[in-house]
Amino acid sequence: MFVAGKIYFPPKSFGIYGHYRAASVEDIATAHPTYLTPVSFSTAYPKQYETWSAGIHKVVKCQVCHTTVGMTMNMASLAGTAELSSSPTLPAAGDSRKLCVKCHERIAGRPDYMPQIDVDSHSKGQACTACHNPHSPLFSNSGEPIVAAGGAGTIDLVAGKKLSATCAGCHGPEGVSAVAMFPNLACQKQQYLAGALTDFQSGTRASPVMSGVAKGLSAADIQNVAAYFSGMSCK
Amino acid sequence: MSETKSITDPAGRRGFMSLLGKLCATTAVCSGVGTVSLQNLATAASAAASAKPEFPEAGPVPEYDWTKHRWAFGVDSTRCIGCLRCVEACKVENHVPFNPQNYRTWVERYVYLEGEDKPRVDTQSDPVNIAAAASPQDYRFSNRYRDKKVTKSFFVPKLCNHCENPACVQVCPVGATYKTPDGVVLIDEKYCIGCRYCVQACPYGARYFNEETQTTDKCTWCYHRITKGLKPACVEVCPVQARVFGDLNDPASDISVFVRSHPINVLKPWTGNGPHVFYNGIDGEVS
Repeated sequence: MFVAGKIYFPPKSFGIYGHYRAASVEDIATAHPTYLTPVSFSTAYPKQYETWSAGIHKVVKCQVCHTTVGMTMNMASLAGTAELSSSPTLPAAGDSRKLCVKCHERIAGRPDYMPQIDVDSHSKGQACTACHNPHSPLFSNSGEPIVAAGGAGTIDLVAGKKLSATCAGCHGPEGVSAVAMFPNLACQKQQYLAGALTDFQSGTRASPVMSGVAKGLSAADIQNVAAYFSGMSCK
Repeated sequence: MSETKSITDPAGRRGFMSLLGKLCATTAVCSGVGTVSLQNLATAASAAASAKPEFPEAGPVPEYDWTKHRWAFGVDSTRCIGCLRCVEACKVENHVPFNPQNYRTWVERYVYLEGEDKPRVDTQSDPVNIAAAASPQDYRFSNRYRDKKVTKSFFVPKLCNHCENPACVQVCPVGATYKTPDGVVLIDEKYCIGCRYCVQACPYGARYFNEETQTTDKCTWCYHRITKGLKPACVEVCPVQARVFGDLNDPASDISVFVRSHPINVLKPWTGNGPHVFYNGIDGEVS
């Protein structure tokens, strides 16, 4: 009876790989992913993608904010069903204070490297997006820098990113070099990078390779590309 | 028929067992399934596997070879900012009930106040933090230590440790939880009887009982994502790279680099479970 029961009752795929149902592994593995990589949204939202990927918020991926529960937009379901809307419902202006402070409120436990604010004294009741572009928060929605970062004039990070393609060959596409003899650029001080490029350009600092690269850059180009690399993650 | 006869045999249980043994030895070749119920599980498994081509050596997941990977997880406590985006992403990704008491991953905050030698610990399911959140679907750490003198504080994200010798698997009476060759501990939701032995066996409190499905549930390292080449949802959304995931078999993977470049630790190593979530920057107080 016992033997007959043990043969009859266990499900079909039980015991093939071990003391469990082999089919359950497939059941679990075939679930559909909800969170997608940012590239999945680049064609649907090219303008936002460009701004975001050049700014310091590029470590904060699309769905960190846009699938927050209570927010009406769910980009994953949009991308999954290929019904991409060109004008997604964004978080309401008032919500930005609830959303941004999840990372940026000054609380016990939050490490010092994270930019933090005392919410009430910093915002004075305004929505965060009144001043900051959420896709690139060191800049306003119209593209003006909020934190004056060294050089005069407006910094254009998108232009900086385009220029960085030249540097990527030796210094790495993320500003982290794979070769010991080429320095990392990510996280380096913007003023130092701009100064080095200016020196290479004028010949004050001698380097056949770097002088050649720097010769083709305008003063604005130098500031833009320096700002771009200084904003990269040093990871 | 021969089985019922042997039960009535005067030789008793021993005679019955030896007869059964002989019976199995002779029938093992033609009926691999029969031996599953008895001693020789390993032989039966290989016999059944060769008889069933839909379950190949590479594992039951199509286009994924589970013998080629050894997954592991890293947590950098010095980077965690306690934003709880991981907790929320996990719930959305894995359909975890949206109440603060059920979670597959959670974040603890350790705060040492001036003059106190024991840390104060709270998580997102602490009543004060629930009250600070805008809604039951919203998670945040309250600013409760605003007016206190804090000498040291840090966040510790936690999740299932996917142990080498998981106590939870050992206690399951029906084989509904198991460890795969790529190092992930999974739960068979259809086969779980909801007895909750495993919830009690886990020394890390990583399992919870899902009232909606009436089964136990826990972190799978997003097995449906990692088998497709994606990262787990919590790793994908973490804005500060406090969570690291990858394949230990690949020396260039994020986790291999993390393990090599940080002084790492695991939680409660004395339990002998052999956790595979590696921590950087946690106190001995954290367990």
